[in-house]
Amino acid sequence: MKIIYSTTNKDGETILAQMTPAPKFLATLTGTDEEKMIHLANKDLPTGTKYEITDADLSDRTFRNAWEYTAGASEKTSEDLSLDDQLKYNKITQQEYDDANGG
Amino acid sequence: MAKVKIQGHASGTGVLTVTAPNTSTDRTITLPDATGTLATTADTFDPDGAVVINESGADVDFRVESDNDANSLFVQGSDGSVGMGIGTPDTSTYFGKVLHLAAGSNVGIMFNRTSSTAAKWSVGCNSGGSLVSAKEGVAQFEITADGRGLSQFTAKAWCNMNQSGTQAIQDSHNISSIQDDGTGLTRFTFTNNMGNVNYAGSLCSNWNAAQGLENTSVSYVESAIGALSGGYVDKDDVTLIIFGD
Repeated sequence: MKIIYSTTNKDGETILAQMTPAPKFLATLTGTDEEKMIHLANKDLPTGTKYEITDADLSDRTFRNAWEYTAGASEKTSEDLSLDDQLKYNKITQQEYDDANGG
Repeated sequence: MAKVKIQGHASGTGVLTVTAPNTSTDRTITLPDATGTLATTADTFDPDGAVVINESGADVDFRVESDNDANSLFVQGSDGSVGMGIGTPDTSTYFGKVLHLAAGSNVGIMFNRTSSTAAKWSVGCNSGGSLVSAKEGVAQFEITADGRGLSQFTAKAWCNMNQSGTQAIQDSHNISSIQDDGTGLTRFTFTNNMGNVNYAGSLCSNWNAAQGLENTSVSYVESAIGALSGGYVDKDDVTLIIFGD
């Protein structure tokens, strides 16, 4: 499974991006394959990014830079991670975590 | 008052002597209720000599209690496991018999060289479940519960991936995903963010290419691989190594 979405690359081009998960990272997650991909999207995509989870064959890269993202019926939107996960992934400090929890 | 009876041996010539201490204060020896036999000379507890506890090998525990810990030292009679701070010392599924130190907070052991180059090094387990090696209270090396090494001399992340065909990560450490941003362009996202953007990285691919990294984020690093003839190019066996905070 991969995650596809629209992004602007380092050269300023709007392009379809495909996100491939690291097997070792997926192995740390629980739930269905789709739930794991949703967690990955929430973690690695900016919040609010429209994306789709796909099994499409993207191996033919002949015209790679011409790929465009078109929203499909199963489009999802990335969401914020929980505070626990943000702390776990070192996205916030322990102090920020404690402050957010009223500590 | 109960009777006091002192009886000499029928054939022995030895003298039983009870000597009062050199003090004006009374001293008392209280005998137990149960009948017992005083140890012979050979069995007498001698703090200057070898001491054996439970020489018969019975399945009985040995325990030393302190002011705030009922099990400051505990030897489990059933299997010989030794605990400090715990009355049920465990074995390790990896090592087998271990010295089991336990506490409700951080716990560890200290190595202390006391000469002119004195230093206190401690190794222990912190509240996050990490194994930490610390010198004088400052952590120098940490192995996190999920197996990452945190120090100035261990790789914070690495990855081996293929760009061409079906993109895939062959193997990795502290990388959660790769993002294909077009031919020759990849974003590597860290599982756990870096501490700052001042980390160092190296990217390699197979022959006939020039490659570079741009580390402007704590959560990912981006790479570009260019063909020597110009333009970006996809490569196999692209490897990334990251060191830093």
